[in-house]
Amino acid sequence: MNVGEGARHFQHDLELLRSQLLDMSVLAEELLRTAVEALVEGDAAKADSVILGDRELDAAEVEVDEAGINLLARHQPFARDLRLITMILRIANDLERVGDHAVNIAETVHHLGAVPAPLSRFPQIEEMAQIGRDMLTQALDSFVRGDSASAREVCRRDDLVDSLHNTGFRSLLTLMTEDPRWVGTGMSLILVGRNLERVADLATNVAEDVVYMVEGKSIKHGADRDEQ
Amino acid sequence: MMPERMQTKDLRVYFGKTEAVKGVDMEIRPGAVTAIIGPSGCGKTTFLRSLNRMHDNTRSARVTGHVYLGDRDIYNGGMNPVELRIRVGMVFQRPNPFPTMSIRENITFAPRRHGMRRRSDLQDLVEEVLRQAALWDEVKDRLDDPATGLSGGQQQRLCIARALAVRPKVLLMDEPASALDPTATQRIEELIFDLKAEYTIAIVTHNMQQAARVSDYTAFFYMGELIEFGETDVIFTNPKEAQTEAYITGRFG
Repeated sequence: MNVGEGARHFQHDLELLRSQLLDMSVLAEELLRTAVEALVEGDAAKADSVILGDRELDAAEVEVDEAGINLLARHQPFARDLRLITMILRIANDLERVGDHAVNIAETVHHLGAVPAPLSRFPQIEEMAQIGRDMLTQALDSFVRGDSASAREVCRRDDLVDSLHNTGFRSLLTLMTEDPRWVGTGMSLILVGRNLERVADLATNVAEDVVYMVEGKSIKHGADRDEQ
Repeated sequence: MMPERMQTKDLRVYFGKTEAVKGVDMEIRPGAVTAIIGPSGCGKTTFLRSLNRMHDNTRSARVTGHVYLGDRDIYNGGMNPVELRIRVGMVFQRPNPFPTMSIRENITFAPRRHGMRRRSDLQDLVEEVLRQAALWDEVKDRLDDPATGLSGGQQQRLCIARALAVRPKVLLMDEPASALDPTATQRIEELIFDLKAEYTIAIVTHNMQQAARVSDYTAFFYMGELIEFGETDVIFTNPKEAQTEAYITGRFG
């Protein structure tokens, strides 16, 4: 049996959908990077650019949704095509939420009075941001290459971000208890930490979706660990 | 009434020197719908027809191996064709009601031949199977009209009612909706869903969406071989065999 490419117009539309998702991923990564830079530098203008950029990401998600649903309705795809389209819809939703977390971080810049955030009080933030971005990049890279082994690595890195978050959170809590003047700033930093921790969770979701797309197997909620 | 399991063991069907079905081991599970899919010429209809010994009268055809209905081999002297066809009903692609008979006579013809005589029994049977086939309300006031006056979809449901009238255990359907419009198709599919609790159903279809909608299990045939058999949910989301994947995603060719 010869295996061809399938209906040409379907494959064309599917390729278009993939590239729309990749555009979204570039934008989401960019928003996250800019938001953390704005925080580190205390740059209000950069923070505002994140808030504006998120609207573009929101609009892109709506477009991906429409295109994906149209493909499902018109072609009623099966097997790997079905998995690909449904996972693109899920990943698009996750990327949109990465944008929302970037906005939350950007808004903190205003709360902190647009001065460089005192990150020495929560030094894990920059590391969390770095790892979260790397996880997102690797998850999307796994999507492009259809590489479920690499996607599984992303999931494993989430534990590190959680542990950094817990450490930073506890030391800030101690600081605020000892010196209430730190409550305002401490709360802002805790929110930043919380948003970055969520970004890592979303990157993990994307990676889990890539595993399902490639292998047809759900590893959500530790299903993979239970088997090992 | 308990549905019965069918099972084939090394089933082979030859037409002259051509082997159209090549050693198929497959189970058709009771109380469930099994869809048989595959490209034209893959042997799916030949396989289905062999479950009802429909090749018996084809001179060039030869069937080897085993087909079990329950624990009896329908070939090799285990069951005569008359008994077999009471237990295994068949519905074809084109509705084929007996053209010279009324709606009622289409249903009562076979039961009469098998000895059912009392008018009230026959009347009850007509109502029962027409209700099962979701046709009763549409035809109850014109049971003595010619069956050929019905629409295509109604005729097909009449054929299903006719098949049910001898109280079979198994229903074989060979593309039962391919000549029908979408509304009539939907009614047949709903009917299949309603009937599966009481019957073992196998359906050959070219329409993969239909296979995905109506069946519990799916068998993919290619060039006379059973390539993959599995739960429909798995076959249509994550098939194991590359050939199945290629076929259902339209990359076949």
